[in-house]
Amino acid sequence: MTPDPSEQKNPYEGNPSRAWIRIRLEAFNGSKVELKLIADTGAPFAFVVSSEVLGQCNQGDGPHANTNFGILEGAWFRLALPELGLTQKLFGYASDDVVTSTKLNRADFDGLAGLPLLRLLEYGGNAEEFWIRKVSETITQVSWRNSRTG
Amino acid sequence: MRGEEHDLNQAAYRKLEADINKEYPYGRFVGIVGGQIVADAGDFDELHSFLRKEGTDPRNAFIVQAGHQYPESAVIFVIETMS
Repeated sequence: MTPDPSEQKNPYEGNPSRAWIRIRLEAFNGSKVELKLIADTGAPFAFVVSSEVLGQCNQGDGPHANTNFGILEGAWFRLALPELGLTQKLFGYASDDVVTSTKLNRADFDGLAGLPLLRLLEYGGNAEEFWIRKVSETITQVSWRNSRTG
Repeated sequence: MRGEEHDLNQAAYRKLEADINKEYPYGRFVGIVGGQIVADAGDFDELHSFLRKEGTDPRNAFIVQAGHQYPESAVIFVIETMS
């Protein structure tokens, strides 16, 4: 059975086990960069990737942030996840120290995904896996109606 | 680290932040170059086009959205620091 492309179901990985998601960013030259990011609903950043990815995918400079990992460089990125309904620009961050720490957890982790990105999707988890999926039409309409009525 | 232009624009943004949020409609994209606001647009790609026409590589322009809160500081808990 072919998996539904509008949903990711990812078994926890790493030591200790982490929820994770896979995203793609569009590089400035039009190519795509795929990344495997630890999902952290407590992080106030859409995502944190390496300075190398920033160099490839930067669409514009922006405010940096001070953290316990030092300065995170802020920049604009373009998401390339049409199957999840996400092709917009999004403000994210770069820090090699953050990425190095995620790789200590598991070598193929490429950084962090935080709440500002996760809330653009539906997300959740159970004992075995963490999932994300495209926001359903019904929820989109209710959110739109609520935003109009205040 | 991104260098002097970034530092200049970052400092200018923090000074201008309240004015930007007051004077521009929520969500409007504002471009800062050389420490000054040089462009604004309702759409990210429109701002990119304008900056290119003015001879600025948009990747080097400092771009913010009016009304958006960019955290100045935060703590990341989910992973451990190296030190």
